Amino acid sequence: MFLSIKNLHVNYESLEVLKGVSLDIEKGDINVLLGANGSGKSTMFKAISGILRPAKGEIFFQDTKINKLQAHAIVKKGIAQAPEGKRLFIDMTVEENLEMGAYLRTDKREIEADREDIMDRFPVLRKKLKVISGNLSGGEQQMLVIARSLMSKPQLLLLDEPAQGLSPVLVDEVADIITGINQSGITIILIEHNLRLGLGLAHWVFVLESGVIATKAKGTDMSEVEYAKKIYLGG
Amino acid sequence: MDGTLLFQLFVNGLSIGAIYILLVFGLQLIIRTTGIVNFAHGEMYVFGAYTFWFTYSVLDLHLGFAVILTVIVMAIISGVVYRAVFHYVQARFKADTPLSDKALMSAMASIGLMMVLSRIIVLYFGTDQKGIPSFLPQVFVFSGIRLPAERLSIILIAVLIAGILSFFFFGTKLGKAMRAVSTDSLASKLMGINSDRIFIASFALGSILAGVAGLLIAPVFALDPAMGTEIIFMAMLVMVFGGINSYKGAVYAGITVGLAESFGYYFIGIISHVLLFVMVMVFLIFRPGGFFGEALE
Repeated sequence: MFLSIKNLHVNYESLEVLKGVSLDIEKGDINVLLGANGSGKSTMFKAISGILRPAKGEIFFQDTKINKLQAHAIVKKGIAQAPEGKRLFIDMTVEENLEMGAYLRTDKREIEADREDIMDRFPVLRKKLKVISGNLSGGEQQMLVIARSLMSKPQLLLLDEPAQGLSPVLVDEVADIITGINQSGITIILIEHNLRLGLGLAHWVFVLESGVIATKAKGTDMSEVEYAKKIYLGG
Repeated sequence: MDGTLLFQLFVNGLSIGAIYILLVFGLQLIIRTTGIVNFAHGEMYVFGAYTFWFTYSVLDLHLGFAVILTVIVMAIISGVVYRAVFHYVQARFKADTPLSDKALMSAMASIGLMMVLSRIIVLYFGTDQKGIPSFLPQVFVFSGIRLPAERLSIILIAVLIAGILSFFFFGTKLGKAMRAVSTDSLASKLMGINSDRIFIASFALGSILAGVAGLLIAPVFALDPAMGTEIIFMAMLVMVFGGINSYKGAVYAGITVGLAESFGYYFIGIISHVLLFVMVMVFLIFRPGGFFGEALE
């Protein structure tokens, strides 16, 4: 199994947020993680990335146990995260942000080549490499968060609400970008409140409810309406 | 009153300002990266001065060698201090801990540490003052203006160090990583940056800057174990004056305070410190973020 989470319990601010999450993710898919606000989606991402330590349970990535590793070691294993809320290094240029994304890599020429490829996906950023990232528009910042996370050359990418606050046109653009990233061979887990975007992309859908995975379904199996009911109305 | 004297006071003021600037750069780097307000920073300045005195004056080592040894000793001392004390303070900081809370927690720890370190210095080196023979005893005389090479060298070396730091922060991977951690330590972890390592490196670099400031001042003033506790409060004041988040502000504030001290002390004597305090109070009330910085939340 590519990523395997077993009976994961995670506390956040002395509250048990995840109460025994188990899920398996296969290589190559786009997996969408749904759930109401506060259901623990971002907490799960933080646990996978080693930012929060699970109280109980295990996480395996490509059959290696990673839940005791430090965050930087997990990035090295091939898991990158684009966190929610445009957490850029706002005093640094676009170029420097991308450089930080490739922090653990030493292969200068390959980094350069990868950056070129990534810039092909985000043409709007190519023109702004020398711009301080704090001065970018909201949409550009969101693009940069995704671009930066690709610079570590991950095998698994965790995207936490990449379309938050974007205009419908940009949301479509982000959808195309995510599809493109996935087609280049990167497995994706996506947290997305925009159901149209999330369900449009999903190979698999996981619904997080009361701290456990309540539903796992093929992306095409249920309609948006059913998901919405399930998540927001508890139906 | 002639222009010659004024110019000499000016150069003296600049050299004192340069010392403050080096100290404040160190304080700022440590605060911005690790969130720690280090009142023991002045003791690092003392360690720098005494180590240099010991290697250069007592062991009679070559100047360059003594300087390098001082830097190495500073790196070791600060590494030990960070790991033994601040590592545990830092570990309690969360991503959303406001700077004011961090400042209070770390101030408590560092004031305690300041006391311990200053006692260690007394125990080890005694309370008597030490002097270092000047290694730049020359005095340049330009049309009646006497400029001691030592004072000039402090200013030049500070400018040089500022240049090196700027290259370090904008041109090297480690420097950029320090900037990244100081902006968003959570995001930098997600980039694969080992933040613990960056914390200790920043703390060491900041402390080395304090040590170098001590080394530069050693040939000018007599060394005395209390010099750290005196200067740390001035340095903190300069930092608040310039703004915690602004290196540029530190330069302006350092020069302003240095000059104010030099001229003030000459013209009105010890009362000049009171004026300095008034100046800072005015700033705290009307421009709490300092010259350029943003206000501390």
